[in-house]
Amino acid sequence: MVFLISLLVTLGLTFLEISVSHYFQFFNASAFFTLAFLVGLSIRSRNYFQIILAGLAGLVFDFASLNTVPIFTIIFILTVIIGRVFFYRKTSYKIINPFVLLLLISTSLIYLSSLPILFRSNFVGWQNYVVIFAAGTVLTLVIGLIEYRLFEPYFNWLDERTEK
Amino acid sequence: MKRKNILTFFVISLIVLGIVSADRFLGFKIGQATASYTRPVAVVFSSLGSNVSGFFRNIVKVGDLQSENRDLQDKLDKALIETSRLSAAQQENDDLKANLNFKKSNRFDLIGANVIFFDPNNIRETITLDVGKNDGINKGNVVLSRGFLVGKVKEVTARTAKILLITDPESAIPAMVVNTNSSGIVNGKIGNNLVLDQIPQSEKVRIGDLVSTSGLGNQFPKGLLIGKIESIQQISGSIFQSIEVRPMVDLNILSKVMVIKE
Repeated sequence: MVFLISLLVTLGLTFLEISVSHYFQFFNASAFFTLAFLVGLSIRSRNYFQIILAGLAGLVFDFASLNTVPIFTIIFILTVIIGRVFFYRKTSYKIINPFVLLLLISTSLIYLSSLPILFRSNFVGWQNYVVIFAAGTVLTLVIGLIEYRLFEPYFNWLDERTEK
Repeated sequence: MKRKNILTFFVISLIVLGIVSADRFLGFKIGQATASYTRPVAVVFSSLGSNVSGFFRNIVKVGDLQSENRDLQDKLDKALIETSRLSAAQQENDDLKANLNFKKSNRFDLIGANVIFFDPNNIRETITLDVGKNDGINKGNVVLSRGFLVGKVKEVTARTAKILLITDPESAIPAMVVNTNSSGIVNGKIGNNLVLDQIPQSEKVRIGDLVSTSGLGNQFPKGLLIGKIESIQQISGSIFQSIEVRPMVDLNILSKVMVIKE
């Protein structure tokens, strides 16, 4: 039951992000809100199923992109592993710092992972790259924090259920 | 107990990473299958996204509607005069074509498609369409929106097609300035813009000039409009001008496109 609900939420956010979020851009960048959800899940859930969810969300993201290497899948899975192993918290107490740190690292990794493609092609517009990187990171952090607060009761419930 | 948990955690991680690697390197198309079988969900989301964004765009625009309405009325009057002039020109044009036995080369075999995914990475500019091999789409097919060039098919599956948009950094299109016939290459630039390269300093191009495909290399049919020149920089010591081009359509809000099948 817990897994099924989490699966539906993750896939719902995933499809929402790749179908809709592009319409709402800020300096040509949009927020990675599925990643923010996975980060919150990995920090607050003692279970292992978030790795499978991260894998599924990453695969759909990689399908929607033109990456030759499954960048999103690898970054999503690594993020939830790091979140679970190093940042797991049983309660919401002092959760914001690790949440922001892990989301910042994973978002930066996504932007940096596009550099090899840019170097291979006729890359013009370093200035735009920096603006999108900064705007995307800030936007993801802001939306991520709002999202964490929205999903907080769900994370609390999840941990209570898995503890039983 | 804790050690056992961590061990289980890493075993599951390894299994998932293994499946992911198999997806790309051993040919098990799990990603494609995931996205392909959830396509109906994606279609619902994309339609939802289009409607929601349209609603918000309209709210934002309400303040500008009055002045826009006046401008539009003026434009409509001018357009009526222009239409009248154009219909005469059209007649003349048709006669000329018939006289020259001109082949009508703009009759493309087109198929309509919906945009179901955008690239989640804001650096790349790609979209996924709900048509694929089953609909007669092939790699390299050209994609238009309202008659303007937006990209070409980069990858195709049975029911979906991935499009490399003209603004993607990997995109390079042989192009020409319509007024002057100066030939160059239109490259994608991060941030939804285009750069027209290889135009010598001596060529007299102007802001507002239209840029279309030149047909060189046979990748794109000749004469498809790409965009409008937005800025020109003549850098001293450089052979070529630095020209920025704005695409004719807003590629961030694409929802329906046409694919040239042949």
